[in-house]
Amino acid sequence: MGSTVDIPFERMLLLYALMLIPLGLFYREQLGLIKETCVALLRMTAQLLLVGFYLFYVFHWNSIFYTSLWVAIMLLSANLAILKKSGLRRQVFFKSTMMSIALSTCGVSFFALFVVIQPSPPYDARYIIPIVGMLLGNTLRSNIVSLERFYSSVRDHRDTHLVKLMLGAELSEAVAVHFKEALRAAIRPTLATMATVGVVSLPGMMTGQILGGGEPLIAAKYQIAIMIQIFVVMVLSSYLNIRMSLKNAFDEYGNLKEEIWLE
Amino acid sequence: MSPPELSLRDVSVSIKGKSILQGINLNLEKGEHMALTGPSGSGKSSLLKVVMGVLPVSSGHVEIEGQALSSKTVFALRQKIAYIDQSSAMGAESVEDALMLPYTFKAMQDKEPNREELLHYLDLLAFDKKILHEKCSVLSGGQQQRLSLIRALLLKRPLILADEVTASLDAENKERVMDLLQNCQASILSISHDKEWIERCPKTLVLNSGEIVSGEGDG
Repeated sequence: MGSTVDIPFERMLLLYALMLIPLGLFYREQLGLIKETCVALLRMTAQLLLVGFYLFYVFHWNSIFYTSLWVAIMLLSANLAILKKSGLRRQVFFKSTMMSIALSTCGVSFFALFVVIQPSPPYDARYIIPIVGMLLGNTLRSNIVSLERFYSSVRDHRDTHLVKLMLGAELSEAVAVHFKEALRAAIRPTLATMATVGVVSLPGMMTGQILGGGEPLIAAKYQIAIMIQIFVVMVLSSYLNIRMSLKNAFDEYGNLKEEIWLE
Repeated sequence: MSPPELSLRDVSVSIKGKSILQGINLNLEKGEHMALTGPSGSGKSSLLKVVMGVLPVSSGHVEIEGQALSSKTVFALRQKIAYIDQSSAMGAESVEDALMLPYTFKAMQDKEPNREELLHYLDLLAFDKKILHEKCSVLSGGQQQRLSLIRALLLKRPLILADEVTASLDAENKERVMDLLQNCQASILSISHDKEWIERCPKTLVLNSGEIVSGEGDG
């Protein structure tokens, strides 16, 4: 197997030219998406080139300090994105979200790297950064769904919540049904992906490794490893995130605080 | 002398600077029935919420059986209260599950409802026992409210808080519910606009703009 073929600058421009097709369609059909698409294209280009540039040096230095710094930046961005998309206040949920995603992502990826994959050195940035990145990318969606679903459900069933508290339920008992529903909603899409992966689509990591000249069987093993990690992290972080947030989101009387929502 | 079932001393509640209740004093003795009435927005539901520990007081004290209500005691004191709400929220899919719901909670796990008593209440409130297998979602508001009442009575708690318990009922069922509540040994504090029920309660408190404007608070 050879190494990845680089794409020369002029031929990259040809790919950008391909974008003229959807832009032309948007113009013809007056979809009002031209400006948004151009901005998104520019942002994607700038962000990925910057990351590529930064990672080039991080991989080159391969220092535990710069790798950890990048992981911390990824965790912070994931946290802010989860809270913004789920419509919840940072002041209330920042700590619990940070703790749950950091504990689950770092715990599982360190286990996979140090115990299962065992690269040399074990803190090799080429392994840590893509793996943590993929885990966080998937955790993002599951945490948005679980947090948003859980708190909306408690808010929408305020009367039932009160009745359960009055019947003698502790807070964890009164919210149990919403908790289960939120976890199911967060987990089901990944379960569906696990059941169809490789048949309906070739996953990104495997495709990347094959394009990069890797053996398909090794690529498949890595894909299995990452799918298992994604699933464990997703379940663990969604579970911990709701559990850890209860103390700040409910008052001492078991009532959902009004101020948890973004205006 | 044993303390009253429920006692409120100079209770005031403000939310975002707006006064909801001001200087409320009341004593509800053991086994006593009290109606709480007044125009909409006068603070009746807020008063009930204060007793349930849902709405924290800005000043004053609430005591249930002589124990002060606070964030530390609220979960234990709620075990002394049975609440029948206006919304008829059942909290489970089937009627039987809804009636058994309190016994699934840790605090009640060692207790069991008396089956004979349950059938007796179903009979008193004109239900066929087949209703136990019905889904709560297909029941009318009045049926759900009567079942909430049965659930509350089965708990045998010393204090019943009821919010418009006769509101969704036809004349016959209203009569049945009023008879059942009137013969109940528990202390009852009930919000009501129903003249017949108010007349049956030995004590009535009238609230207006968050203050007691008439009636005996005995406080």
